[in-house]
Amino acid sequence: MKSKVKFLLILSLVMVFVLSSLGVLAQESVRVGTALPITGGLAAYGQDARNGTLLAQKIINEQGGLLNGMELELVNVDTQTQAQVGVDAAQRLVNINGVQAMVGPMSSGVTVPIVESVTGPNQVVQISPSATTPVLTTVEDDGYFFRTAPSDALQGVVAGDFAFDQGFESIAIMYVNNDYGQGLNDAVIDQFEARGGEVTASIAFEADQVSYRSELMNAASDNPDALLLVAYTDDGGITIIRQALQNGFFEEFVFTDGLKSPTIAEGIEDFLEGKYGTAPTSLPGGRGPETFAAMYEEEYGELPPLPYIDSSFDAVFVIALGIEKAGTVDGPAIRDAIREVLDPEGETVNIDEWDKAKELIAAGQTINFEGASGPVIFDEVGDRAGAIGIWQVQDGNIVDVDVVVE
Amino acid sequence: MTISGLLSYLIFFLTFAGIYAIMALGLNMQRGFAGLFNIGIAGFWAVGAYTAAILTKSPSPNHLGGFNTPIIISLLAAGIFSAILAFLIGIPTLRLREDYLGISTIGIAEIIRLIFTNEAWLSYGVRGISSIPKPFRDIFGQYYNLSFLALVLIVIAIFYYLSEKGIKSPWGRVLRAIREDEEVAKASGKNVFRYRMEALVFGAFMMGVGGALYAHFTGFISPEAFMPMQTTFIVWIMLIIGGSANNFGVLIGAVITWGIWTGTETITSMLPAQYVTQAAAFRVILIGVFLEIILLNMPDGLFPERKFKA
Repeated sequence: MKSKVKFLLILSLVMVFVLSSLGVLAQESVRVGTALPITGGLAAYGQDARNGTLLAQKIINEQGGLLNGMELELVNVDTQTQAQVGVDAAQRLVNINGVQAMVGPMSSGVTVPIVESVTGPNQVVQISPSATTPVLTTVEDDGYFFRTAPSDALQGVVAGDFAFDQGFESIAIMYVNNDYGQGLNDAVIDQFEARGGEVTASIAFEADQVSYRSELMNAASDNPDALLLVAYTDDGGITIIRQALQNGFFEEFVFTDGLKSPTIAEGIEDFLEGKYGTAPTSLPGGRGPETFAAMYEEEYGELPPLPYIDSSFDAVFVIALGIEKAGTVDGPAIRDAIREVLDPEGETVNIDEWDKAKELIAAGQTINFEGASGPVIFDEVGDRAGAIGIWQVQDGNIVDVDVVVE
Repeated sequence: MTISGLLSYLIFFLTFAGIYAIMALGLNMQRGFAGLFNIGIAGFWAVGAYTAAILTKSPSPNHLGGFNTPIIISLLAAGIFSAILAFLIGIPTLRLREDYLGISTIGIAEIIRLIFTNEAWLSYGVRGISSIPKPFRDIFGQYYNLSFLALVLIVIAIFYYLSEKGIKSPWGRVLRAIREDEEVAKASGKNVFRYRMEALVFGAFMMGVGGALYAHFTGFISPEAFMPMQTTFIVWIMLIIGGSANNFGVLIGAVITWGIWTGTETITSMLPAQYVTQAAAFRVILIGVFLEIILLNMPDGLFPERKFKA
């Protein structure tokens, strides 16, 4: 029995500790939640994305805070890149921390359950900086969900168009078997066939295999003109390119964003010379990306070559704009205010011009926010309007050659 | 933070812990009483969740479904499908001893996850099934979460009652005898295979129902949600912390383990913001430390198996 008493003692101590810690969080600031993966599968992305959100907080607080001088406070919870933990963490943000708007999470597998079971029912605005699955376009969210990363469907459309415009009449597609690969694959097929081309094979592959020869053989069986490859450099993409060339399965390729790296051409520059690929990029215009890189470097050191740090910054900034416009911290009001205040025709606000944004809002004007990831424009379902860049392998390097705006 | 906020979170927390408790009750039937080393809980969880999602959703062009069944039927069907799966798995594997059964169950759980990943006609593949209906949302409105908690508690009560009833009966005595010494049970003329199968199937039924509740509660499932850490090993931890072969113990174990898993963040969040990365890692250490404290003090869990009178 002694041990049980000891245990209960420890447990009650912990409870006191936890409850007293909750009491400390008195409400003198505007609180916004961030639910980012600090541990687990996407930890590498989440930690830097977190820096992006902190940078936005810093800008806003340095330039006088929001709602007449209140400080912006970010409360982060760790989703552990797990649906079960992420849902609980988001619920804690809403109930315990009382947030009416949150940024995150990163992966689609955690984002959708949070929209369905936490932010949607509780009328809390949610902006994901990186969930790209097309499912989120149609999810029933009552307009509370936005994202600052463009849907995968967009790149698929551009890649499909581009492949057809290259003169390929038939293509085979190989894609990494996850929601990203699947989403892109579907969009490419729709677009390529709509243009009149033929997709002879669409083959999912598992990451990190030693050999992809059997998949390549299937893909090449109907002699398509080219292989459209949806892969990352470090999960088998490089192996596939090499084996396709070695065995003579394919000579023509169209690549996607995960392969936009000089490593794909190392040692085989001659074979890949002049090949093209697609990748999401910021909408042209504005000085957001450069300003952001400089600010990030000053605060945290060199900006890592990872995506979604800039879109995390933008997510916080947009929520702050919404709160300022709404004049109150209240989910439905913020949701409507974000739609009202953002306007591509409005006055331009750069990422280091929070005070200017406040003045414009006070004057009742709309804002064209040229964010760290380019101008932030949402469509009616809260998806980000984006642009897709075309890149080319030239002398073993990757060169951006064109930008397609949808 | 307001009192009502705290209360709302408590309801939410208990619902999640309750779903885990159902899993732990199922595992307790298999492991605690029958000694079956099942480390494939994720597989039964997934089958239950997908069964419920496919049955209750309105028609969708993306995957099998459109049966619009009421939740009570989907819960039962989820349990039954999971039980059938357990039966099929049991035929070849139940003759295996301890660790070999463990290896085969974890393999099967992985196979199931890969089936749901790749058979898009069935499960919409890696993109998962969204908009799974939420029962009685229209009736209860803002009290929806409370009503769902009530449903979870009712399910727990039923399973708890049945488990206790079963384990105190002659059937339960035979199960425990098999767990302690298979040869003795055999020598007294008991059909060991049949008893083990019954425990496996009954446990799997509970896990299937738990999976269905999870699907309805979160509204979205994808193969990503059924990774072994979050769906298999955490349930084992609950069983071990609470006390193997003690139904009341595993319920407490589920609440405490899930509390430690999620509550540790409240402690680490008090660290200054610039330490957020370290705080997250520190939280993982804290989870380990808490579990160690409990196990070192109480190697049999909080509530060890009760001594049964002869």
